[in-house]
Amino acid sequence: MNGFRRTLSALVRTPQGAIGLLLCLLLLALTLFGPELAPRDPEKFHFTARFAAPSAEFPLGTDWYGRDLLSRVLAGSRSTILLALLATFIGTVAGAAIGIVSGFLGGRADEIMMRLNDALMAIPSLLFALLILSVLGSSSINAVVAIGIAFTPGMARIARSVTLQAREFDYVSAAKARGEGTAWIILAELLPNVISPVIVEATIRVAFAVMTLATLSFLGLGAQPPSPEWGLMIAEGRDHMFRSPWPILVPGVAIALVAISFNLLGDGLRDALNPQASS
Amino acid sequence: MSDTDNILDIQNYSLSYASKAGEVRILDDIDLHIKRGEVLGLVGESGSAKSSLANAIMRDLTGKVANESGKILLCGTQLVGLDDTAMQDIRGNRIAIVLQNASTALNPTMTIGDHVIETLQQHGRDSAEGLKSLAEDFLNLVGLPDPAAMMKRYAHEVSGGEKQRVVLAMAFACEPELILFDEPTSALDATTAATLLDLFIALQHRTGVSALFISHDLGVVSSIANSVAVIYGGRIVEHAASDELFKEPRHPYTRSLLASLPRPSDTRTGRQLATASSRAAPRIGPVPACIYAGSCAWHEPSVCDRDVVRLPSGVDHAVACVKSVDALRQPQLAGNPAARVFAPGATTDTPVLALQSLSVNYGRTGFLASLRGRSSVVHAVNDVSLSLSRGETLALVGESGCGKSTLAKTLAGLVSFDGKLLRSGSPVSAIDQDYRARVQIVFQNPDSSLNPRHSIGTILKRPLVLYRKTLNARERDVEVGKLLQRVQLPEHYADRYPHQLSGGEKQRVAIARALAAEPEVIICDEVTSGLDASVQASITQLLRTIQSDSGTALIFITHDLAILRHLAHRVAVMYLGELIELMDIHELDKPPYHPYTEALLSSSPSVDPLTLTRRIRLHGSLPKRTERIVGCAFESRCPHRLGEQCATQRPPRQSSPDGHEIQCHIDMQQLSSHTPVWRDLETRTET
Amino acid sequence: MSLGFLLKRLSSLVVTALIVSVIVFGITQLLPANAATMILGEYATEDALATLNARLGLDQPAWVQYWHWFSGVLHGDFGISLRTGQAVGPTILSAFGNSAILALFALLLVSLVSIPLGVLAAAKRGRPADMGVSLLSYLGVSLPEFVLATLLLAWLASPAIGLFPASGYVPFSEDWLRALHHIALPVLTLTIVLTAHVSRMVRSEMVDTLESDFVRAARLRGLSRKRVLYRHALPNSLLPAITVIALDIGYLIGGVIVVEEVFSFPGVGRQLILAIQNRDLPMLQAGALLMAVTYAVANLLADLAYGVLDKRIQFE
Repeated sequence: MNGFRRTLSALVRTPQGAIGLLLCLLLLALTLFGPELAPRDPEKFHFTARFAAPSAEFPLGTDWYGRDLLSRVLAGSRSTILLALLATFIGTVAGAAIGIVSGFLGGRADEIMMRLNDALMAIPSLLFALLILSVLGSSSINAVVAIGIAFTPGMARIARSVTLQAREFDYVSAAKARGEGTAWIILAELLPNVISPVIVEATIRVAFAVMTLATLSFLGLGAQPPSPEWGLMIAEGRDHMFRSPWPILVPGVAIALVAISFNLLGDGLRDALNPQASS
Repeated sequence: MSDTDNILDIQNYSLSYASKAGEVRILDDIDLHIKRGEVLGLVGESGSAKSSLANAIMRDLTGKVANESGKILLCGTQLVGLDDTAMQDIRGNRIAIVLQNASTALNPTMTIGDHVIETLQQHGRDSAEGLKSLAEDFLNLVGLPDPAAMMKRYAHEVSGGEKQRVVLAMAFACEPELILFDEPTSALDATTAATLLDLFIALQHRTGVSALFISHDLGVVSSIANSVAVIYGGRIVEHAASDELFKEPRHPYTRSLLASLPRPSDTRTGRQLATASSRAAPRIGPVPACIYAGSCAWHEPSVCDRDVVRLPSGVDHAVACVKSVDALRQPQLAGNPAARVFAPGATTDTPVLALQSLSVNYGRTGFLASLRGRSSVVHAVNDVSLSLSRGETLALVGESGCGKSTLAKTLAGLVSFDGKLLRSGSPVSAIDQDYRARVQIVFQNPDSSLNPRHSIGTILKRPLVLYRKTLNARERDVEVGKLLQRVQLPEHYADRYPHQLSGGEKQRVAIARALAAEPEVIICDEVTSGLDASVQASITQLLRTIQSDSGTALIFITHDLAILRHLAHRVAVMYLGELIELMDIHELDKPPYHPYTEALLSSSPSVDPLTLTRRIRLHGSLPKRTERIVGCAFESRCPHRLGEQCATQRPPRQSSPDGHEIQCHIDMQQLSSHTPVWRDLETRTET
Repeated sequence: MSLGFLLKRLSSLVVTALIVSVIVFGITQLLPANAATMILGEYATEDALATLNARLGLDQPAWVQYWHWFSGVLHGDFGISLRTGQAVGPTILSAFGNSAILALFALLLVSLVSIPLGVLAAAKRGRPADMGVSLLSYLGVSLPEFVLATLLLAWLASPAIGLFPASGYVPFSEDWLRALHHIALPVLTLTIVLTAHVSRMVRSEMVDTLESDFVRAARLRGLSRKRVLYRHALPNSLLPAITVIALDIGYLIGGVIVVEEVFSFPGVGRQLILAIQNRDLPMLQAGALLMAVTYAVANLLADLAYGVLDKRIQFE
């Protein structure tokens, strides 16, 4: 816990870290209470107030059915943010496991695993996700799985390179000389030292997952109507974009805000966990 | 006081940086001057802010300045307050600096020639033959062979010693008035460092340049400086002519520093090393009257804390201490022999560990490489035979890359080998848990060998869990306490993490971890390098105590020969993977030596008013590690090379009746007739 | 750079391409609907399906099918589109040409803009210029292409402003001015997003280099600020920047897919989305393979450039 508190205090001392942490905490609150906070029913049509600009009644305006955009964005926050976190979690755990094991084993096994991994990385991640979705079919949860799998090779590469660095330390040699088992060396010696760069990378990837998830929904391969998923809201708003920009602007800004928050938090964490900066 | 002869004059200079914890004093009330043609040595331990002084002179401050006051005058020009643009004409032109790590001081995308030329060009130098030939002249000046070819090379294509020469050439290129040396030889091997120091001395004589030579190594400073200033906690505590200061150190700090340094004459005089190390000086909070008050054995608040203790000016031997010289007479340490006599057979006849023709090869030749006839196999250890008796300390010495650390890792079961390994007379077929428990290793750098995420308690419990399975959880806690006691650390350290400990304390934890298994052999791989002299002395003392308590045999690997007399019974010298000499510790003081050992002994500088060291310097280059050496490995650099046979025939292993072994073509009798490396300066008066 | 290095990298490209082809083929084999069902519809008889399966070779083991497909690809035969019934090869190649125009224009602009921006930010570290660049790049990396593209479209192509066409494509051979007009918005979108990313990377590489020992040593030799920046720091930061740009081609390819969809631009991305929506297997395989191989080739070119420029890579 000592280390956690130290990291936290170092984090809030960097400007990006402080802002990022604040925004991410706010977003977390939104995710938990967002739908309850919505002032109106997100699905309720208000035909008298279609394409309304922001006003006291509809703080962020309305869409082509006169639905309250603020309520819809709040309702969509849970699915967007939680699903992005889930996708990142899948990619991080799978990638870190592959990367750490491969880096620790070294030699031939590492060579083969990384060659395969590199080939997977040669498929751009959006394309990879599209390919997986073409197998699984379009849905939110399939999009999550697809992004998780598409993130895995990149995460594996990072975890491996950090593991290779950590493996050079003599505490690993000391453990081997002591006759420790592989499980102890990986879990007790390497993992605690590899985890922080992986967490930094994962945080930044949440931003990326939010954007990719929205992109997939936009392309019609993720969430399906009438879900208030942000990417889908933009896709639907495109038909009316020359009449009112609000149905596009509001979810667009929401996506950017979430992405910025996690990018800031990730960069702040990177600085806070950097051993050179802390000394 | 403003002497026009002073190239550099620092007056009442103070510097502090702003930090989260408050204002940190870096340099405090510095008064120093360097005369024309003078070499001033600045010595201090880690954290003494000695490098900060060089940075301050260069106006390259690394922190956020909170306060800066006083003067730094270069021939009367005040440097404090000059901005970067104004300093451009001074840096490299009037003051040059040679930094510690030459390997990273050169731009990897530029040729060496371009480096020198751009420096000359920047400061408007030229000659009739053009910049290129001027640059070649300077490369020639620093003794680089074939300057024209060197001009076209890149940094990665030359050796570490050559890079440092290039840096030296650039420092001299604009004929500066002052050169700052910031630990210029610390990253180099002893034999390489020695030739570079010689080169600098020669160039300094020729050009008459003044220099500030910063080092933690008092031996190096004593061989190069006219006068020496000792820095502690950002203050100069003593300043005197070099001979004077080393012969008669006065400040308690200087005394303790010198008392912990081993000397070649220790064997004769029976001198023991002082192990009391000085605490870190306070940097934050109220300014102490005397900066050394916290560590000083003679500290008397009523006398010492009345006024700020300053370095007196205008005296030849300035000491920042209010006490008289007589009051500080050190109680003489007990004079029992320092060199350790080990009688084989006194405890047991079977060696606890024996190596027979042990070899280690690294790497494999790739498919493409083998097609082109290139091998990338490194013969790290080649046909080494050794034995180690119970309770004995065998020192393994050699320079970086000689295979000593590989040998250590091999014995610790980390590297596979060819040849035979015997433990207590029976062959070791596989490195198993039983072997691992009996043979433990302590690594060089505790920052690397102690997992930063584990508490000291966790670190010490692991070997107990693995090797002493009968202990239950509570017994393990008790045992951890006992282990900490054995390495003289408080028991509550079990709850701490490595980063909360000092360097010496961390190394004690690493030693305790090795002790936990109750081993027969502990391999100490450079365990004292990187530590300050006093800490090194106390770790050495600790190892001796452990050995006499438990009878553990030690393999002590080091590149530092000076400390051997205080620890080792026998010395094995390695060169390029081969064991070239094996001798008893008291044979260290007289021939015969292997020609390499001779040069190595001569290259290690020491502060010893009782001994004169004969100068032997090595030239020539080392063969590639992937080459299979047919003759003698040392042939390319040997000053006593006999002829063709050295290159084509493997040298025979000669041994004397008392167990001294030398692998050389030169007859042992003849080697015995060489002049000793060390000459005793007070032989007559002592006997 | 040695011949060995070249051979090694080339062979690794071939291996990567082979593995990618297996993955692409493998994934599309897992598709729930098979080609025969696609062609004959869901109410086809068992017999008819079996006959067609046999004719298309779909009853053979997977590796035989793979071999048929892969040897075809090697001869430029990508099969017949299940959606249009026409040969996939010509369609996908012409689409690829269109996409390449988008990507190359974007790449050129990114290189021209992002490197000076990154260098500027690093040189003025902590000052307003740096803050400005950092802020803009944060915005850039946090805005998905489809949001930016849609917003640009809604703004600059709206009937009220009408600066650019909302969609479509005109070949350069027909009218290069109108062609440029049509690709302007897609290229602008790709450039903004990628510039944000690359300039951040260039900045961080440059900051690291500026803190390295040899830059300090150069400064302490009294070299001018300009010389230290351009002769010492810059060349050493550009090398890693090349790798970064090459890796970002992965993002670029993702961006191209999205942007083509938003602007209804007839490129590989749009073909790919159509193929997924219509379960057009051969088209999907061809598009995915083409994109992945392009990415691998871009990385190879970056490696080779690195090898030529970095004097340290002489062997392995």
